[in-house]
Amino acid sequence: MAAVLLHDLIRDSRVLELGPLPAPRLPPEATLHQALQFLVRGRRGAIVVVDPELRPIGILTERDVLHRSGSDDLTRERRRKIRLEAVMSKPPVCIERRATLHQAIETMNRNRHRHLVVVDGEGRLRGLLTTNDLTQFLTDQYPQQVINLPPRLHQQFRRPDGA
Amino acid sequence: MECPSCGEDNIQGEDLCASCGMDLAGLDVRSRELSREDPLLARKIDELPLKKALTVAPTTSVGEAARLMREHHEGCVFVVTEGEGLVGVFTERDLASRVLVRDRSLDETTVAEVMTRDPYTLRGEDRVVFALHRMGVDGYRHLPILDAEGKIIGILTMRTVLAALASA
Repeated sequence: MAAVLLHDLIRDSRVLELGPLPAPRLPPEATLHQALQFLVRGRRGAIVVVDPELRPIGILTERDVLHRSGSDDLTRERRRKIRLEAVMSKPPVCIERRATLHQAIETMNRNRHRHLVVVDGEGRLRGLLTTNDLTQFLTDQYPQQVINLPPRLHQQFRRPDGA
Repeated sequence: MECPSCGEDNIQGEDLCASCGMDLAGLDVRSRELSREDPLLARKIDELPLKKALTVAPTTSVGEAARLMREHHEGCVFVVTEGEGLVGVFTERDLASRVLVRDRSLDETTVAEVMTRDPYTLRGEDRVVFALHRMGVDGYRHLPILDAEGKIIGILTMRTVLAALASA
């Protein structure tokens, strides 16, 4: 692929060009306990709460869980009873799938979010866009041999699974 | 041929960088275009706004670490010791996946038990391109940035990198 400026790529590419953006989803009646398991298993950092027509009505992110962790909502017994709709953030911040990556990044920064719910023209759920999807897409556009060089001589790469 | 490590402008076809000795063999024309055309990726990490890193001791309870993160609106804390410096990172993802889902106690679990050890780090003088790459390949959302002595000078987040790329 010819070298392009990242800046142009961000302005010209659309969210739908990123390929599948899996969105773990649950109905509002699900328990917080189920939601936590979905959240962890999905490895997307958030789950989308949808109505029967697949319209997003809320979102539960790892950050929401962190903020609830100081309250009683997350005690072992309580999280098996409490419903997702009582703890989700609403309304979710959405982006139309034909929006550009630039619009997506701007929307994320304006709202200080790492996740955007992707919807089609009818407002139905089409995916979940994360900051990780964006960095992965941008990294894929660059010649690997350049980027794979260590930033300094003799540096060893360590590979933990987190952060 | 610009060295991707130190930025030295070497004679085309050189095998080793005249300034830092980095192996330049195999870097084709495309790489030269990349560093010239994309000034942002050639920028140093410490030119971007870094966030202040929250640090805790390994014996800190998960509940206390979570309280600190809530208070400062941060998604992670770095675990440091007097002797070794940075030894681990504990994130909001770890809170959900290693503590809550496994029904562990917030007060009786220490961060040392559930942290990710030896997090990947970069230095302030490293280039933004390496941060973007590690984030894109490994999914790191927060990279601790160190000074020459190995002390944390701040954290670089994915959102900061994306914001810088989008606003360039």
